[in-house]
Amino acid sequence: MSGARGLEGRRTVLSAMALLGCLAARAGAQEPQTIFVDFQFKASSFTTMLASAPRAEMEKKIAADLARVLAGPTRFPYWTFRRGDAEALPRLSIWLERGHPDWEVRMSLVTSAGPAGEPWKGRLFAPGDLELFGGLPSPEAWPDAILTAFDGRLLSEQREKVLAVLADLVPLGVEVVPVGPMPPASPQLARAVLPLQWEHHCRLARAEFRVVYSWAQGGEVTLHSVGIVMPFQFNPAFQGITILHREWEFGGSPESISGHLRDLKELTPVSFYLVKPNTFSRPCSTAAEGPGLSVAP
Amino acid sequence: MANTPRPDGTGRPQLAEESARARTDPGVALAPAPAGEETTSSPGPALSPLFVANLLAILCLGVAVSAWILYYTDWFPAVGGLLALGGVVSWLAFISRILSEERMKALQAWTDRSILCSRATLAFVAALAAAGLVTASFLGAIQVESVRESADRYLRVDRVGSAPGDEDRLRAGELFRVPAWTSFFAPSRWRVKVSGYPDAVVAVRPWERVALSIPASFRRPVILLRPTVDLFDEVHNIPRKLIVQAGGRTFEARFDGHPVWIGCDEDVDVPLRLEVAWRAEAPQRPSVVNTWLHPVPLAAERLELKPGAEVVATLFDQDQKPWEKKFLVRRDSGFPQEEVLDVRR
Repeated sequence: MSGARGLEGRRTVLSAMALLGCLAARAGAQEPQTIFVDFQFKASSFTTMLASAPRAEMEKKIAADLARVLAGPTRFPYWTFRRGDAEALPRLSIWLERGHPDWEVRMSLVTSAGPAGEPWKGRLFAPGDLELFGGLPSPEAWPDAILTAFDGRLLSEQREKVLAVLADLVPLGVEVVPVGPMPPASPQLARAVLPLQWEHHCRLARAEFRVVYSWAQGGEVTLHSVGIVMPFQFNPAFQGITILHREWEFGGSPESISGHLRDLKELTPVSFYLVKPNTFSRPCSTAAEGPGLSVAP
Repeated sequence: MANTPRPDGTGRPQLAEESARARTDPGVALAPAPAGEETTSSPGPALSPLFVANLLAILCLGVAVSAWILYYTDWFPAVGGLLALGGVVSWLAFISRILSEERMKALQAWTDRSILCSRATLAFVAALAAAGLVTASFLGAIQVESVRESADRYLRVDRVGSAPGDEDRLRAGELFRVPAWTSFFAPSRWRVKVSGYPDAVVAVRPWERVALSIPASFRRPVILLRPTVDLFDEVHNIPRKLIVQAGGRTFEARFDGHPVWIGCDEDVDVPLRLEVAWRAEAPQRPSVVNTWLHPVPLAAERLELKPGAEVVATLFDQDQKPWEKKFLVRRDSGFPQEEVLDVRR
């Protein structure tokens, strides 16, 4: 008896821990996917000018500053950027390299599949700059110069390209919760809510998304969806962004969602991606919450 | 013409005087008058052995001194000018012209009698010759000739180990000779420095004239260690430690992107062909090339590289990690031998 009670107790503890874990996961999911930012000088011209210890410190500081720049409202505020190490995935790996004839800041997206295409480049120092400085400037000047080159040149000149690659390869999140009864009664009710906290991410209120589901009948289905400028209670902790599924894509051209309403209940979310930001510029509070719908069980 | 005897004999008053003096002076022997001239002319001063010896001794000494000056120094134009009563002794020529002819002749006669016919003169000349010979046996000379130069150069010749002296100007195409003290037992060593070229150290032996020509004699193996543009950019604002091992010695220097002369001092010209090549290599970096045009010496100590010797240049980064480059001193590398130091790739 005592053995049975002990087993029962352990089950209870494990169940409680699992529930807590789920809650924590759901609470933590209110922020978009994190993209880690790693910065290394790499070029020997820089690495040899500074001893290892201060160099590592400077690399960390620059990586943190670059992450802040990437997350800025005019850059890519749709994801979460955080300084990470050289192994974290997905990550934006940023380094310095000698181009011809300029010194350049370079950036590449690295996912589990490896680097995504050619690195993006932004001029750091032109020969004229080096003439002016009499060579590479002293290390104290590097962080500002790198941030200026990164934001003012690399991102300014190639923001759309970077956004396209990030949108294509880095999901905004994983969980998607259907809204209302399943299957929905009409295509206008084929809705779901994304775990993006409305107060912080309402700029995506009318964005276009690509939601990937695992279909019970096998394979992955991509639903092309759009934000409908409506906050919705994702969980008791926060309101998310409501989307409307418009098209169903499974192994061919996208089809209207109206022909697949009954299939929606057989879908398990895998991840969702940003397709087009369509930035919503009004204050978040101006959008009205939806009528009496609830998250589908 | 003044000595041409006149038919009445008035043109030769001094001969009677000299004849009378000759009779009283045992050192001056009168030569026998030629037959048939006894009634028309008096005999001239006799060529006594002493006179001939003195004359030959003085002539030989003068020629020898002149030859020595001509061969071992470049003073001959000045000395010759003095002998020709030019320069500072032209006053002497002026005074001699205001003397009357009789006085001059008397002076010449006195010279003839008191110097050329004196035993003391021979002894004095012999002593002078001996002293000169001894002195010359402790002297050599260094000759530097500007052969293929289109510009003037500055020249300094100092004994090795002594403090640098003054410079002399050597015009294009001219030569410079300077006597140098030395001895048979320990030939002296002299450092000859011509502006724009590495110095040359020569050993001078007595009676030897060491001839050097510009530029050939001064183009000894020298290495110009130059950074690439990338390395210049790395080190110019944050200089690094450079250690060079050459000639069995180790030199440490601060490396800030200026090229480094290995084996010569700072006052050596970078050839124009190198400057042209550098400007082509770094067309967008004129200030870098301008820096390269002013190499710095590796050390104040003199270093003479031998062909075939190995030179190791080691550059240290901020973590004191070494970056090493080895090269050999080449025999036929042109002047100077340029070695390029690049960044660690």
